[in-house]
Amino acid sequence: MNLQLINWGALAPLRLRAKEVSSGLYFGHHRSQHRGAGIEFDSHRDYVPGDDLRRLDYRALVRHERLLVRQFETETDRRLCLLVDATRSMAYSSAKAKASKLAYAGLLAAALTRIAVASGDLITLDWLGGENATGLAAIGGKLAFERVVEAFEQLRPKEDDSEADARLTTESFERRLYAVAKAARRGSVIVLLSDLVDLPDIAASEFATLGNRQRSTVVVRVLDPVEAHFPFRGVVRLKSSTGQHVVETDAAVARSGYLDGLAQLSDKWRSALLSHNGRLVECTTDDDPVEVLRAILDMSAPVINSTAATRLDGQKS
Amino acid sequence: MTFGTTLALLVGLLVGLPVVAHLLRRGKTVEVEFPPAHLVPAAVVTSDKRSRIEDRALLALRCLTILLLAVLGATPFVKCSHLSVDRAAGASVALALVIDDSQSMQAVGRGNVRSRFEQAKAGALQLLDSAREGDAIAVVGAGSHARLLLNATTNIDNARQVIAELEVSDRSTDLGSAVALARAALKELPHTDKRVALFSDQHDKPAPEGTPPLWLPLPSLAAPIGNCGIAEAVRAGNEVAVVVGCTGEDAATNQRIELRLDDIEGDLVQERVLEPRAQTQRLSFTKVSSELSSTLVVRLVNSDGIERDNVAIVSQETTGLTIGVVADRERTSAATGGAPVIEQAFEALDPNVAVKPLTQIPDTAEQLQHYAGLVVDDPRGFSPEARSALEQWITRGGVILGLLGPSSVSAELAASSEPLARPGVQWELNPSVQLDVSSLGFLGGDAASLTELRQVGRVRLDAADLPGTVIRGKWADGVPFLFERTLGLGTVLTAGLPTAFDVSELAIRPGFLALLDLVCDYARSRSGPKRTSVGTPWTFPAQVEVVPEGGASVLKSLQRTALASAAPEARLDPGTKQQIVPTLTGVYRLTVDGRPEQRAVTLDPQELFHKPEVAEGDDDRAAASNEPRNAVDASPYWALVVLALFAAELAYRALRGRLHAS
Repeated sequence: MNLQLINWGALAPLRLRAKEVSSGLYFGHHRSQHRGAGIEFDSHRDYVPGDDLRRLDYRALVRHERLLVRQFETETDRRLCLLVDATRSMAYSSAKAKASKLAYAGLLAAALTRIAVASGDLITLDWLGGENATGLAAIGGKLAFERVVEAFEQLRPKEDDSEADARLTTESFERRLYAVAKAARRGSVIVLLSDLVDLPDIAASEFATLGNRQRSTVVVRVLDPVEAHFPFRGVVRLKSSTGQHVVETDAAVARSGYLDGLAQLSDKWRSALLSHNGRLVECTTDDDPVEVLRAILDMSAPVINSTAATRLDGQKS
Repeated sequence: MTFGTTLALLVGLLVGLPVVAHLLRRGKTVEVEFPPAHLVPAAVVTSDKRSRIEDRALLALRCLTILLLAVLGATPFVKCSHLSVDRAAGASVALALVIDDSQSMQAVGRGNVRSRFEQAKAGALQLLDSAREGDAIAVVGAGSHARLLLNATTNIDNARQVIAELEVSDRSTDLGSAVALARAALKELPHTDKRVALFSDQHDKPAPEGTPPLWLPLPSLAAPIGNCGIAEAVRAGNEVAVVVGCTGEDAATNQRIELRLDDIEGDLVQERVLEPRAQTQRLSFTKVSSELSSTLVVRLVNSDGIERDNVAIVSQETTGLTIGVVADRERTSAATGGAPVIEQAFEALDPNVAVKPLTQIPDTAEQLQHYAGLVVDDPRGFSPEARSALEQWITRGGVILGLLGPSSVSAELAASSEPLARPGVQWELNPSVQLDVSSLGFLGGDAASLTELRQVGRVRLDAADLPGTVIRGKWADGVPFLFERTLGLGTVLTAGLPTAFDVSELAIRPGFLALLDLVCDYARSRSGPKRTSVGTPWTFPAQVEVVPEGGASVLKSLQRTALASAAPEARLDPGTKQQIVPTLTGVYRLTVDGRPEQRAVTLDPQELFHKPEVAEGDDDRAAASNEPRNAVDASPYWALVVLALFAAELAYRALRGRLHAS
């Protein structure tokens, strides 16, 4: 397969599509758990010595003859850390798919960036695999959106990936994960956009540990419809992206086994994430990106006892 | 089949290519990229699954497409079922449509809804649909006697109407005369492209060759259809004789015939079983009680190709036709002896004709009244008494054929050649002159036998025509050979050659037999024998009340034709005559000038079993004449079908792709 370019398909141009997707959502300033100086009134409390006298509510003093201090919500700069899988498998797109998985992931990343920019949050971008993959340090404002889009547009997957290169080694995965952990402060949201196919076995548990220190982790599993449903018939010969893993099988017989394997991989990631307050969102490139984005934002909210993973066909597990 | 056709059809062998391609593809599964391939468990693929041909629907579509492409390449050599007139360089065409309306055309083949006649009419109308302005169309009925139903005209609507109104009959087939009529109708036309299209089952002798050659647009009409039919049923005293004809052994096997009273559902009187053989067979129901005076009906039990001829009303025995022959026995008999050639010819023509040799013409009309016709060979003139008797006899319906020869010009004192010809005919020694055969087309195909006739001389009739004479045949130099004159109810035919072998070969040519046959027909129609074959006209002097026996369906068969007298100077009865042509078999009751009489119309047994005869070389001739003119360029239709198949393949592949994707 020629991986020179990302198959953007129906998702191009990325800028416009990302704006459309993000505009399809209601988004605004997310509230901080820290109360104090701010604009939005939250509540009153009794004055204690040392409080800033500017917060003293004189009207309440006249009415109730009590010293009450007004409390405000403070706006925080929650950081969005995007980690995008750019291994060869992400470049795959079936004949009927709108675009490649990487293009779909790029669309989600750009839309998330725009939402984060509108909320005044900072964005970081990092990659798993890929060539010419430009990472971004914490950046905010309108420039952040442009930089993220440019990074996707400049991305060039490697031409002659060997199987070893195509599948991330444990070492390279941990190295990338360390960089993300370093950039993600307390309260950050870390979003991994990947098909989870070419990641090392320890990837699930390693990534889940990023959910410590009040950080939220969301894994968005992007699959092609063909990968999700296995619609082959008769005898088929399937090869991996590098062509080194080839299997010949009877589709009717192998379908259930494959789907089981796919479900087990999902379960592995889901259980690992759930233990660290993380979430798994599963989607295909045929799904409405607005709905996927809504699911990601819902999952990134630190709501206790919320659903751990969401499939976009309405099933929640 | 031409080389081009063969080559085009050989393309059909390429149908093996997609089969081979699918076979090669068999077992070679297509490699598909699938990133999570490592999650797919390998399953054991059985050999039968590998060897199974995939996409059989697609394979069928591709094979069909190649076959149609081969047919498309062979077009326009491939015949199309729709008939049309193919024209060379767009030139106008003169087309004679010969439609057989004989009895055998009523046959309906197995698995066919339409009879041969209906197919023939439909085919003729299809041809007319492709006619253009400037084309000349003539229509000829090939049922005996052959008739020119429509002279050549450029009015296509007229031709269409004539064909639409044409109805099938019980006539016998008369292909030779019909084709000759058709050729004669086209002869004078200026068109360079002339054709004679024959729609017939060919239950007759092969039509004579000639120009334009015959074209058989629907050769399938000649396909055999099993049938048995009743040609004639006559009661004589206590015996009922039935003549039955069958097309073959199969049709006759297990066939029974019943004699019933009054109707086909009436009381059964007797029953017979047919012999399982083809052609005609005569069956007798004996000891039929004379007390059974009511109508008797015979019926063939098993249904077959023609239902109508399975039932017939039994007619009473009637007298046959009597022809008197006046001839010099020494000069007109064969060297081996026997009766004069004229008498032998009549016996050969119709065994029911009673031939009475006469030494001379009787002097009174009463003595002639027993004869329906007379043939006089090379007479030495007629005495005044004989002339008077002949004129009286002819005006009452007699038919006379005079064959003038060298003796006729040397008439005795007071004798004259009247009423055959004007007195003073001349004998001319002229062995080289030939007959103009085309002028004798009314004799049918046998007229061709009169070519290169050898004779020592001829009687010049060019100044011998009496009032009302019509020239029916000529010599090549334009001198009349045959006169026809209507005198009262009768007819006078005068030929310029005798039968004596030392004078001419006329008597040994089939054309002479045809001439005698014409005399018989005239005699039957004019003198009114009680039993005639279907199609033989009855001529009457005045309005005749016709009451058919056997129901209204028989009445429809009577075609009345009011004929203006062809002899304005006729001495007797110059008024309008009436001719009735019974076209269906049955028993008819007529009232002629107040006198009731019964006539039976019978079927020609030959028509029941006659099979198409293919003359030597006819296959090649038919192939040569049929193919280019019967072919319709079906390329556009085939091309559309091929395109549709391509579209079907694309749709199928798209659908398959969608199914796989889903």
